[in-house]
Amino acid sequence: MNSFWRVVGAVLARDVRAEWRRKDIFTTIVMFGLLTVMVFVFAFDPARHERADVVPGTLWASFLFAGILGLNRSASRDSQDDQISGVVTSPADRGALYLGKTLSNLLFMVIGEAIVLVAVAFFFDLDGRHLAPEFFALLVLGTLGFIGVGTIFALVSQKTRMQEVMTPILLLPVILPLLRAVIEGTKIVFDPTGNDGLGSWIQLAAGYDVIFLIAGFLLYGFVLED
Amino acid sequence: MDAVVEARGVSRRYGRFWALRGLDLDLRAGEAVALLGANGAGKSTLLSTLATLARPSEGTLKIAGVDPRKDPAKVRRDLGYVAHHTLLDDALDARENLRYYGALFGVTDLDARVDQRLAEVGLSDRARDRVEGFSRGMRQRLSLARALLHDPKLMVLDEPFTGLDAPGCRDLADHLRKEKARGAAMVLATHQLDYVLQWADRVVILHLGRKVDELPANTYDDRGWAGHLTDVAAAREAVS
Repeated sequence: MNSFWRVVGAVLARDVRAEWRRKDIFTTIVMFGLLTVMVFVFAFDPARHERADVVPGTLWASFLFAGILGLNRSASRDSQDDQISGVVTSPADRGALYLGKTLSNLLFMVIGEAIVLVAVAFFFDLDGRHLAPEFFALLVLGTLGFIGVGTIFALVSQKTRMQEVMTPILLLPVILPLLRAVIEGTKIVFDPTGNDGLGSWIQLAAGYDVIFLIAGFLLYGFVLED
Repeated sequence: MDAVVEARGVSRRYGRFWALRGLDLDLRAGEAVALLGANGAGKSTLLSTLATLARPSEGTLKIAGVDPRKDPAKVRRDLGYVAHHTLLDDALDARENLRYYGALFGVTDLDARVDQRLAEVGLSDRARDRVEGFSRGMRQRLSLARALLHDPKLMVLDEPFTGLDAPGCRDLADHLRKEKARGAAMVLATHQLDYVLQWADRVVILHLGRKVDELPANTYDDRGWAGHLTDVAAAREAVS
């Protein structure tokens, strides 16, 4: 294994191992995600609203808020006992560090999302017809872009005085195009009248991911060291 | 002997505040320099600059012949950094922490190297224990093992004795002395001079970001850095 993938594997293994023992990121994502779903269930009676009107907002708001807390938890764990200095003073490829960190955050987020999705499916009476491949494509693209950008901004936030507060302030404006794409796409998936325009929203989300993941890969070193 | 640190006119500015001004420092393999001075004298800034955590605002710096601004990764391969924070992950055990950092530093034959370093710092029997259960002394020994995994040419140590009891300080000093004998160059800042002066080669006294004196460690006496600072100030006044 070359040194790049060795670093990716080391970061991923360390994060997974630490999370397996602490379970704080996972707990944060799941608990906050489920609570957000409950708020939406109370606010919009699932029996009286069209799924296409309620489910996309419920899903993505839950993922977004829970994910921001999870990203902050993950980044603040890296700052404990000044571990960031240990990483900065290593010769490890910065792109590999970013990839490893993004993959671990992605893993925690996907597991959390799966549980939140089960809750949404239960409360809003979703079945196999709604959970189409297009829906999962939107889920993957939305989560990937969100985590890819969020990993950078959670690190930036750790270096500011306001720390956790800074992550949503910095992250939300940047991911607005992605959010728009996945929410509009999810609305179409849940709309029983057809799926016109779905492809465009998927393309927009995919394009966003490609651009911002490459940017993250290239910029992580600057953020880490400054 | 090879020059490990060559600093010429190194300065570091934070906004309008100069934390370090025009510092010259030379250090060869197997040499140890202790940095002394009051809080805010510039010790930590100098150590951060040497550890590549901060870039010089002015001046030239070479570590093992390489400018950290031009090739930071190459410099970092020759660098071991120990601070009062241990840089360790509490949730991992001692061995996992070393394996993680070994991968980041590209250490080959990692398992054997980890075993060797754990044995050297007396933690072989605690290799599978999580760091969160370690005493401060054990953490600092593990932190030293982490910094030494890749056999660095330069050790940068920022208050490594903080929080250690007397046996812990003696133990850490013994380890550092051995690394110096191996040929590692060392720059360290500490207030626990008793554990350093017997084996350090030189003492550098910093004041308000400037180097005000550099003297052999065996000539440094118990008046402390403040006493030497007074001598330097008096000598300058006499000359002027």
